[in-house]
Amino acid sequence: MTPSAQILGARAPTCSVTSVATTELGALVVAAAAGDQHAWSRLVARLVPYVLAVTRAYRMVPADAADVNQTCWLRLVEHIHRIDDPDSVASWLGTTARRECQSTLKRSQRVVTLDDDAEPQPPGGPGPEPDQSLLTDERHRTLWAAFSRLRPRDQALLRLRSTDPPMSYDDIVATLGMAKGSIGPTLGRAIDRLKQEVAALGVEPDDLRP
Amino acid sequence: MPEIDLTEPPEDRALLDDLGAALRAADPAPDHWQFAAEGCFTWRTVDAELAEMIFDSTAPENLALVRGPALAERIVVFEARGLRVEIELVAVPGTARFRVTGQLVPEGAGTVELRQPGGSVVAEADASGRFHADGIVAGPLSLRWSPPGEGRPVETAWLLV
Repeated sequence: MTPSAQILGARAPTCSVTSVATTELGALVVAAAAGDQHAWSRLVARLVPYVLAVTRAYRMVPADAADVNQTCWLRLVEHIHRIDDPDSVASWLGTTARRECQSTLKRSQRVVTLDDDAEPQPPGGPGPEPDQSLLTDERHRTLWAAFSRLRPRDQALLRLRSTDPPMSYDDIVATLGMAKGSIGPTLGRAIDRLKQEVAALGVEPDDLRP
Repeated sequence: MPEIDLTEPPEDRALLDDLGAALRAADPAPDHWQFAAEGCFTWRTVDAELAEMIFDSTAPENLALVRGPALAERIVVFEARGLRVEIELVAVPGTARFRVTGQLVPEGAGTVELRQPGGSVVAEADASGRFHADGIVAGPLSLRWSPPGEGRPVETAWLLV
C-alpha cells in the first residue's frame, strides 16, 4: 500500500465502511469520495476509455453510448463513498456500463451480434472516422490500421483486453457472452490475426516493439 | 481439469498494452464524454438518502417475458428504508420527450425535483402523493424529495431514460 492511499483512506469522512485503497485508481476513488475534484478528473481521464470499450463491444450508436457514459459516472458519484473496494472501480464502472448497454439495447429492441463470420468493419461503428493526424506515433498508426481490418469479434475482445487496467476474464465473460475457458485461446488467435494484418501492411511484427 | 491461465504471455501482454495506447490515440472517446463525466462531480451530495432501483419493467430479465411492442411505457420503482417512489415513463408521440407520472409512498404532499444534467423539472405531489411532470428528455434522470418527518432528503439512483 502506498502511504498516500493510507492517508486518503483514513481521511474520507463519509465512508460507512473504511475503504482502503492499494492502487493508484483506488486512491483516486477515496480522494474523490472525500471531495477532491482534481482526483475525480484524473479518474475520469483514466477510465472513460474503459467505458468506451464496453459501449464499443455492444456497438452502441453514438447518442446512446454517450448517455451510457454519463449515467455510469453519475452512478459512480452517487456510490463513491459507499464503494467497498475502491481498487476495483474499473470493474464496477464496466459492470454498470454493461447493464446500461444491455438495457438500452433491449428497450430499443435492437439486436446486437458479434458474428464470427461477419465482415471486417471500421471499429468505431457508426461513429465519426478517427482523425489520422492524431496518430503521430508510427507504431500506433500501424497497429490501428491492422486492428481496423479485423472482424468485429476480434476487435471487441482485443479492445477489452487492452484497456488500462485490462478487463478481467470474468467481466469479459459477462460482456461478450464467451465461456471463460475459451477466452485465452480466442485471444491468442485474435493476437495472431492482428500480427498477420501488421505483416500484411509490410511491417514486421517484431519491429513494433519500441 | 487444467487450471485456466488468465494472463497472456509477456510478449502478448506488451502488444496488448501497445494496442491499448494506439486505440486511445486513434479512436478516443468524444471530448464531450470527458466533459460530461467531469461535470457529474457537481451532483455529489452527502446529505441525502439513496433510494435504489428495486424494479424496472424494461430490465432485460423482465423484458424476456414480454413480446411485441409493449415498450411504450416503463415502470420503475425506487426504495430506501420503506420510502418509495414509483414512476411511469411514457414517451410523448412526435417528440423526444417523456411524461412522468409518479407516486410517493408513504403518500403525502411535497415537492419532487426531477433532476437531469441539462436542467431540472419541479413537480408538486398532491395529498395522495401523486405527481406529474412533462418535458423529461432522453438521458439520465434522478428524483429528489423530502419526505415529511424525515431529517434527510431522498434521492433516487440515476436512471437512464
